[in-house]
Amino acid sequence: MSVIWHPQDAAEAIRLKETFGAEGRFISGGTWLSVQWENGAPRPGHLIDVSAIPAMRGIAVQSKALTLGAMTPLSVARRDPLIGKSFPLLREAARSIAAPSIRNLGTIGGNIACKTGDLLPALLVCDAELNWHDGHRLITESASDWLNGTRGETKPPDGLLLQVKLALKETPMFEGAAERVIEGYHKIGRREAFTPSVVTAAYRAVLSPEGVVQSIRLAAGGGLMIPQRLTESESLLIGRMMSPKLMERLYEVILREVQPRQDAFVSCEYRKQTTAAVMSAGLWQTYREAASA
Amino acid sequence: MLLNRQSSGERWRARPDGPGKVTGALAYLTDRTAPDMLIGRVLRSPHPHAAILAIHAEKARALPGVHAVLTYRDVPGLNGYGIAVQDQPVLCVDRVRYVGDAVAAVAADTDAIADQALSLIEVEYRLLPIVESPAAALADGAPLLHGDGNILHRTDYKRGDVDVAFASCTHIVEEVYDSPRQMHTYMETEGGLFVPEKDGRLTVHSPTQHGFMDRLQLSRITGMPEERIRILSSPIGGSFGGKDELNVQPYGALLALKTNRPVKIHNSRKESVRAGLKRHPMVIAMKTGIDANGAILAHQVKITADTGPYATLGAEVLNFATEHALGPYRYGSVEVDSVSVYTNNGMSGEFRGFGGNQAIFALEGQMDRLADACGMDPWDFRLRNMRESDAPGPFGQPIAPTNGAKQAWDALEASSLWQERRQNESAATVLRSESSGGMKAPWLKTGIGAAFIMHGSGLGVGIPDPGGGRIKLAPDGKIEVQFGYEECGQGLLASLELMLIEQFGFAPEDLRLVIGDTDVVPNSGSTTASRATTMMWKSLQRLRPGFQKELLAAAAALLGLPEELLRLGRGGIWNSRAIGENRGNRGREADVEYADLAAAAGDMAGIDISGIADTGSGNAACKHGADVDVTEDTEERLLLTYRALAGKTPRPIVAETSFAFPASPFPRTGAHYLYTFAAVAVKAEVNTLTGRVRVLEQYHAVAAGPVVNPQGYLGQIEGGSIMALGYALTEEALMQQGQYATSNLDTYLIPTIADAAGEMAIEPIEELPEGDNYGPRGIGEIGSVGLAPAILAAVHDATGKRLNRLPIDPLQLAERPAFT
Repeated sequence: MSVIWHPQDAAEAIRLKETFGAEGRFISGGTWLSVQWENGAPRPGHLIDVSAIPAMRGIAVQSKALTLGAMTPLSVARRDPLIGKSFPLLREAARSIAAPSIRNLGTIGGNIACKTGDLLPALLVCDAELNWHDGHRLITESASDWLNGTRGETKPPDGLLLQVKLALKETPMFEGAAERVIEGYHKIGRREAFTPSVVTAAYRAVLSPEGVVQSIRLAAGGGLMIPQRLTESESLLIGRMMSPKLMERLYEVILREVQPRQDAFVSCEYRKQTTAAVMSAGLWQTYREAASA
Repeated sequence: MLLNRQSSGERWRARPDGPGKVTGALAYLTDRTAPDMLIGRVLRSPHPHAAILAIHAEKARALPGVHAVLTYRDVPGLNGYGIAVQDQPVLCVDRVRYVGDAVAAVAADTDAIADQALSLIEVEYRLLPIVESPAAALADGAPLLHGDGNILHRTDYKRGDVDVAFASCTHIVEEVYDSPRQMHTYMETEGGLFVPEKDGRLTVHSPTQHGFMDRLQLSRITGMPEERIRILSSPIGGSFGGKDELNVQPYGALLALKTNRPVKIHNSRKESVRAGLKRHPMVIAMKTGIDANGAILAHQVKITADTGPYATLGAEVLNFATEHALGPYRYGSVEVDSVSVYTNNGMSGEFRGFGGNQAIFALEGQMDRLADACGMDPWDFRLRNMRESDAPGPFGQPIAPTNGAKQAWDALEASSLWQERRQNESAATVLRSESSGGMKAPWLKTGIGAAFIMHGSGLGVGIPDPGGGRIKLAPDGKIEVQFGYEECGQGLLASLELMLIEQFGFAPEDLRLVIGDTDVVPNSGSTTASRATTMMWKSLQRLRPGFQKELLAAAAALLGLPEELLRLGRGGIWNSRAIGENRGNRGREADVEYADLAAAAGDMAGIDISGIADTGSGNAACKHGADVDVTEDTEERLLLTYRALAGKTPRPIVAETSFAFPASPFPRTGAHYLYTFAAVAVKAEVNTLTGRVRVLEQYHAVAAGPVVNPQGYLGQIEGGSIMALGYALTEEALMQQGQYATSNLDTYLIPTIADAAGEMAIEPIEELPEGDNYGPRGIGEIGSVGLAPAILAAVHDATGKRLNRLPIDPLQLAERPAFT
């Protein structure tokens, strides 16, 4: 039986965590943790319920950025109009997670902190920043840096994730002017809904009117894999014109670069192949559709 | 005509157990509690195979709050169970053979204490080599799991000489078909409440598909006479064969008897996965040859089933698979060799379809491949080799004459889905991929496929297959109908109610349907093998003339009217004026008590019947002496309520029948006499980027005689089909080294509503041969059989790939995208 603590601010939560060390665990919705416990993970002696911490709640727009409190439920991320308009990949990711009752409980913060959440690939291609409290001060780091930094670590983060910050893109002055954005998010599971991810792939490209890739983000995850930016694959595309030949090469590079983890149900081979396929074909199809529109 | 809400008209009714189930008000047996109840738990083996060296239960017994810790020494009767062979230990003595094997059972004040007690029981094991597969079990030098070896059952069938026949074949197709271990995944896990009564009897509230079989088995285990045990077995939150065999009942019963306190046991999902039955994984090798004209000359089959550690009905499942690997087709020569093998994997056993699913997946795969080989259309190829209506059964046994095969074939041929495929074939294939518009994702490919199913119902030759039921006018005026069949969600009560309304003229409120109580119901056999509806229908057919006559005779005597003028109807006995045109309950109603009639009428013959209907509810104020001839009355009227009749009739009115399910007069165990036929067409979409398959549209033709209950019929075919969808696409209870890798529903994936989306058209073929009086055939299983092979055929139509393993491995369908 765990003792449950209800800190009223971030500093108190961190103090509790420092006091209990590995025996203390932050908890928000608890949906992911309860699955771990059901599957045999030890229950910590102390649960630190972070739901009352004001800084972790709410959605705010400030200085051209959207700030999402870590306690924002996945169901809110799924239906919030501003998120839907400005970050459709994030909405799509939230839509694909678990089932309604779980989305009502599960939070953005929890999905990130568990390190394998399906939001992460979407957050990576949106250049999300994470605001942490380490007990003394606020730290901001990119989701990509944080994931890279924690790669290989199995222990949960010591700091407390307060917010996720997403830069709002400026609206172009004229319709159809200049650059085009093509983006997509694909989650492939073992069934159509309410399924653990086998492959999660997200991409976001900014193209010149001629179809030259000006900026590109590719991110992959799925299963036990810590989601990663595919930087080598991104380098292949940057500055190049979209073409079937380029996509053929992209498929190959992704196949080589992505590092999925296999489990009892799905092989690495399938995960690599599917990541490469949905990402390259998705990019190409979206590009063609945008071109013909 | 397609079966749906619209086409069902007034027959589309709210089922009697529906409101309780959808509101959650209905209490299942595992919801029941009793004062002073203890919690029972079972200690199961952590090892798939080990010798037990010692069991130390002292610490657990000493724990405060623990009332009993049982080991094999505490089983008073037979330490074994199994419907057919009692080879599964209630509590293991010196060896465990799978991870669900029970070693000890605990009763404690709370779940937490019971849990702690389990952790205090020390069992010393010596690990033994794990027999992981039938191949390993059959290998030379394999560890022997039972005294007489690793083979539970062998069966074979031979007609002609296949080797000679293969020599003259133009095309031969050889394939090995692999089918997974599927879980029933009923919503209600196994459990129950076990109550020792003051008079020394034991009451068991626990779901099962055959209360009397549980009673017999518990009698053997406890040493109590059967009559001292009462089994309450309905309603059941799903079973699909999985609760046919005993599960927690032995532990609940023994703990209750030991502590003399009520004991509740309810499996967690994980324990249910670990201990419960699954569908047999089978490897089926088929070699089939045809001549140049597409006639099948030789069909050779080898079936190997992984039956797990103990028998339950593994032998019977194998017999069924053997019969259904032949199906509805004609062959020159046939040879089937089947073996069911013990392993240290999970328990395999009874499951909707009963071995037919595996066999027909293989058989229909062969038919498609043979059609390919000879360049014929797959559906035409099946017709080319289809049985004739008066042909014997698969084993050459006499069966009830049936044209069901041809009827189902014709219906599918005429279906819009199959016609769409025919048109696609005649058009250029290019047309199809472009049909949904220019920007359709090029990696989505659709195809249409079909499969044929012949499915036996009843238990088959040589297995006691009793049927029967009882109907009576209860003292309170209810028409009480008693059957030994169970409501496991399939809609048995709704079907029974509708039959009583339609066949007898009763209204729902006249009825009391009594099932699931061995103290009350007759032993009318198990609720398995697609038999219950057929048996209830037949029982009512047999009961009706006598029961109706007795009711009417008693009413006639009381009313002083001739029987011929009376009929059964809503609420009681009616005059029969409009009987022909208005069989239902549309006449004017009056709440009439016989007592009121008697008081009002000095002379029975002098009742003014016309006055009765004018009185509205409550008291009937009858006029005297009008002496009206009721035959001249033009309106239907209620003359006597059932309650009044019950109160005045001098002796109880009751009718009972018992008989056996029709069986073939043929000396082969398990051979069937009644068959249901079905044909399934499916349109599926393959995403070649991901290799994932989605079913877009389904069509099912089912030749099973009259539709007893439209909702129940649809529910069985749709529900079965969704089960088959899981079997084809997502479900596999994966075992590694004798342990379940899929220990819960987060990894064992049944279809969600998103997976089961898409249209499902169901067309019942109700016509039976003239003179056929076997009634409606079973449909409880057949819906779960054909979809998987039909999906594989559709996948082939879409991609050109023939798959031989279920569930479909997306890797086999994934392709490198083309960028154009």
